[in-house]
Amino acid sequence: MVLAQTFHQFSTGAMGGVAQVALHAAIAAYLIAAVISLVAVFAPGKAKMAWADWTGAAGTISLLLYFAARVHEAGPAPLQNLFEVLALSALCLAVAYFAATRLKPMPLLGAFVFPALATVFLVSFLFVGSALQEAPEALRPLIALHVLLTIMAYGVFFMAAVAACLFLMQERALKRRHASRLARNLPPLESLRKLLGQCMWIGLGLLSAGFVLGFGGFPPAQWPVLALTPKVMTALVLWLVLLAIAGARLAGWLHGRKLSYMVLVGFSLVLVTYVGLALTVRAQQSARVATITEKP
Amino acid sequence: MNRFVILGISHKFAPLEVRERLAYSDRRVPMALRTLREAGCDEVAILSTCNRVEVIAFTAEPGARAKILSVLATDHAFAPDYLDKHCYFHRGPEAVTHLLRVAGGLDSLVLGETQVLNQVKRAYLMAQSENATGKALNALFHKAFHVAKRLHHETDISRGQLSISSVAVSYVDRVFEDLHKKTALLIGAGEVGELTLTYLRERNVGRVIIMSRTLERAREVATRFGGDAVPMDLLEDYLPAADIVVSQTSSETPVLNGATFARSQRKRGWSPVLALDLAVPRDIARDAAEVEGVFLYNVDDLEEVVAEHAMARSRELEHCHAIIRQEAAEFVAGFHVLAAGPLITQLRARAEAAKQAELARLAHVLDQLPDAARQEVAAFADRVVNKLLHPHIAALRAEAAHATPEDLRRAARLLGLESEAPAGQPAEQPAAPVQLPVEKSP
Repeated sequence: MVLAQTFHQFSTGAMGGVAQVALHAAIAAYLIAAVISLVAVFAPGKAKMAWADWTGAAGTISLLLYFAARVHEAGPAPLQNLFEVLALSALCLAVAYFAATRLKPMPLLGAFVFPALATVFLVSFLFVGSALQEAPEALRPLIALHVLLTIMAYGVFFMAAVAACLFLMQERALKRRHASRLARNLPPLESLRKLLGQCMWIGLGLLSAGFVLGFGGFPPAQWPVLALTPKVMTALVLWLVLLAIAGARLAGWLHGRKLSYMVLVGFSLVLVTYVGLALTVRAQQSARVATITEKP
Repeated sequence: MNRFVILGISHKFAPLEVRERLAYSDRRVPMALRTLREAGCDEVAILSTCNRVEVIAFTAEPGARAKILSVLATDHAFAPDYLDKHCYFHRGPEAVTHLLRVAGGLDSLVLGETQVLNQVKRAYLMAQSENATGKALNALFHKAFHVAKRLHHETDISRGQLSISSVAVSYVDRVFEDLHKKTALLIGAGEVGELTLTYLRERNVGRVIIMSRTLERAREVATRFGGDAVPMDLLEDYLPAADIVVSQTSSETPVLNGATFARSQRKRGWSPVLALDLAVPRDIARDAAEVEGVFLYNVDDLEEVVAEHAMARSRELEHCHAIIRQEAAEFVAGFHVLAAGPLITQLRARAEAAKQAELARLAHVLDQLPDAARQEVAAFADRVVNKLLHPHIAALRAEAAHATPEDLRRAARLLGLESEAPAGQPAEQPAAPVQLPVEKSP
């Protein structure tokens, strides 16, 4: 009920007609794709996964249309609240999924990605109306790019986490010599290993670029102050952790199962930082609103 | 008929640990055959494959089960009671049906597989070369080959995924995405290993390395598969290059273990290796499965895939069982007829002797007759003998199909014959032992 009310408030807000239709279509498509792909897990069939992929693709196109409409409505800064940030993360995950599966078909990967996308949307409703922290007007494009790259990195890390989960499941099934229907339909271990590695490096690259642009969005004089803010410090720690994981993999210290566990730990940190920061921003906004209201 | 006995263990009743201990290498079979003959088996063959070890015998020994069990237990240092728990024993028509099922692949781990037929042929040829087979086992084995051919031609039991090799290769898809950059290492150039390599080649595996105890044999296989032949002592050097290891040597101790794989994996950067151990006794020690990135499968691990395969073929199975029932019944009936052979031969011989004696007594009269008349008298004597014998021989043949050895002995006494060959032993060789086309088996 609360979710429905939030959704109603959101969809009848400042958004235009095209964006509204596109967003509704995207959410519906991802939910349908999630259901079809979950059915495909228990009753595997190429046709079912193909339907899930087509529905998911329709959802992704609708989401792209939504952002196009938002750019048209709101100008160069369409990300005006955390809902939109999460929606963009979902879009990045979807794009990463389609890119990965077009390069190398991986059956049943969608059964994990589409439910994840649907969940991201459901979670994102919690953040309707929370505005983003504003940057100086002149530096907005850099900040927008920083936000975009960071969100893309989160999307790619999400994909790495999915690959790590599937790797652990497949590896366990192969080691235990137990071939459940699910295990038999998972992508090959080698594909998951490669996908995990690629997503980790791409994600780290995007995150690093996002950092540089983030600092570039503010005057150099503000950098020392900026670096000491909890948000930036947390993000820096996260970046160092992810860099350490990637470095350990490169040095051959982390591999196979251990690497997958570490990627999941890294992604959990991403998630905690992401949600933690969002909640902090929300709390700060609430406090500001309360102060303004109290003033005569 | 009850002299046919089969005592054995198979994947259905005995774990791999027991099977691998009981397995007979080619070199040990002749000695075992001799021991079994000394233990009272008139005719005997030993079938030893990855999934079963069976002694197929024709014996009048009433305590055949205990005696065969004792030989097996002594040969492999088992306590007879322990071994007995894992063994099955068939006698008479049951034993016949069992061998027909085994040769047809109906008792195999992979239902309907055709490799076992070659292994049965090989067991027969080895017994034959040791003079351990006779009329009874010749007949039984030839019937088994005939039935196996019928099953493979008249039913769909052997279509689709058939062999341990093909099931093993199906695991490749779960580990690797693309085989054309992968290297397969075959250790021991046995039949199942070669078949596995054939499947891998069909899937475009990039490079093939073949190792065998004799480099010549490795070279021979390498030429056929377009691979590299390498001596066995370089195994550790070549292991890191292998993504797929197929091992099927006749070694009685493991040729690879966890420590070897751990060293290899370190050099490989821990990328996945699929190790298919198709040998019994096992070639790859169990601890190899604990090494990161090593996915080890032995013949027992294939059971789950096989079970599904069997489900899909259950309809065909009914058809196969009908063929086996029919063929077993024909064999049993035919064998009884053959068992009446000594009586018929003696009956004929006695009549022939009587005829010759009478002709000899008339010799002085016959000598005065012209040639044409003499021949007419001889032909007359033949016709009389044949006409007198015919109803007895026909009745013996007809009744022998259902008769027990005791019935035949009674018939011999009634006819005043003393059977030289014990009743139940076929008089004539029903199917001459021939050279069968058989490939080298593990």
